Amino acid sequence: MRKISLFFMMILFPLITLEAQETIASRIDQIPVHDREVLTRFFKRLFSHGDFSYTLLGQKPMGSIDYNLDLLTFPQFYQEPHKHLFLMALDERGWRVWEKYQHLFPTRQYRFIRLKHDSFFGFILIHKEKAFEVIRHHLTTFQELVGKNTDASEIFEMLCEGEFGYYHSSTPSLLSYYKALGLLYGYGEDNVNTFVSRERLLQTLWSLPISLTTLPSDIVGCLEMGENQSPQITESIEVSSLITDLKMIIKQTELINTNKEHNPFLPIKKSRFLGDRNHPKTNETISYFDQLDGDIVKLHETENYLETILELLTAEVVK
Amino acid sequence: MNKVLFLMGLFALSFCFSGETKEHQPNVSEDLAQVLWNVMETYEGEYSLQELFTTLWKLNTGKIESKPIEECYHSLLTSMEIKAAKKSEINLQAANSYLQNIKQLEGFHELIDGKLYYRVIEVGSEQEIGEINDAPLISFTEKTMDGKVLSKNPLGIRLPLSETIIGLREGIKGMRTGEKRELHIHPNLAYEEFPKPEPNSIIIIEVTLISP
Repeated sequence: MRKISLFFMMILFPLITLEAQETIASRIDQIPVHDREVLTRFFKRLFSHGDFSYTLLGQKPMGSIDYNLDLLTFPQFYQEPHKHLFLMALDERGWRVWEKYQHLFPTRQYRFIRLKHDSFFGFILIHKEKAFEVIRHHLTTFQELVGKNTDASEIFEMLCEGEFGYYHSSTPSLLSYYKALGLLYGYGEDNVNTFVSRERLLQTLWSLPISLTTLPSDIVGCLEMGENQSPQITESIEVSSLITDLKMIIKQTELINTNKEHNPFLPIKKSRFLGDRNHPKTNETISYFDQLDGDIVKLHETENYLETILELLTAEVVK
Repeated sequence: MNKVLFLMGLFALSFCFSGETKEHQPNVSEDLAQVLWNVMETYEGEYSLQELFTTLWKLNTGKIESKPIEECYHSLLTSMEIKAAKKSEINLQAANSYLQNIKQLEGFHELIDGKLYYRVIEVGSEQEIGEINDAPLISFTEKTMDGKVLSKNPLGIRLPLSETIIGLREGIKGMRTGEKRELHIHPNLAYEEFPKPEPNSIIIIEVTLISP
């Protein structure tokens, strides 16, 4: 009996796969040639971002690509503004075309959404299963943001509906918000805690009656104190511990490149995060992403790129 | 030409606009114009100078109300999109004709028709190498068509070729130890639409094979 089942599976599986391939190909055929080209370029740009491709091919629960619309009105205040403006405009157009056809390609394992808040907009790719696991595992952190009676499924739905992306201004706890995002981005609990400590310290510094620009340049640089925020600090501050904390944070935190930074010919844009190189998760993340780079380049060079990427995005959930 | 028109327009407008602040802070007007000009340069070719002046005048005289900046984003994004598409097309045409010219020049070798060419700058050792492994030791300088350096490593680095642009991966084939080549790479085999430094840019790489 088992042999018969196996026989049928061997015969049927390739047929099902073939049918699925034909379905994607035939659905692509419904798209006018010009829109197909726009979509091909759109997905090539998105998935040449480490953040997106590691979510699609790797272990990242979520990846995002962000743009700041202020660039449109104040380009002179940014480095290489044309580069960002071009990509922003092209991706915006790509999304408009994708909106017309996304119903043809249900992304079962992923949620691919566009978010907008204040002057920011961007795209988020969520690996549903992995993101849900993060929320379930760190439920308290997420509940601090949305209410303690909200369960993991509801929070997950909120994430998928884009209620999590860019809402710094309305979040009840900025630190929990950073923690939740860091966990969803897959940077590991230790790195997320380091980042949160840095933010907490930053908020404390902003609350002090001192001119922060008079601090040593390495501190200013490390803390990236460009914006002026004045959060209300309710607890008392021990200045001696502040100095110790500052020294520790400066020693520990750095901007970590997850791609091979010495290879300028890698056609994948760097994914970076603030973290501690001494945490095991940091090196694990770097080496895991490094291993994927070859696969991402191969994917990038695939002849039927649109078909391949849509097959990956619409693939059935493997149980 | 646009700049001249802009300055003339500003001069003409100075008669229409209120002069209250000018006496006390003469530099603000001038510097504001510079800031505005910077923004305008970003949208060059996509706006009408006359309409811009008229709108400024209407705003200044209260004939129209200012609107939230968010409402202006759509047209600015569309303008950028048109500009990006134009830039891509112009650069692609320039890349195609550049490589067609290269093709005719003496000393250039074709690796992929219309896409990849090289010339030997320094001859390497006489000994032929069979296959170059996936991570040869190379030194390189990556440049644009007008000579702007994008990246370089004069000391040498082992780069996995499977993780580089196709132009370098293919262009390095057949090199001998010590050989220095200048690769001329079509954007399709380089960064395509990604603006490095602009969408659809030709990339020139001077590469030396230190060790296969």
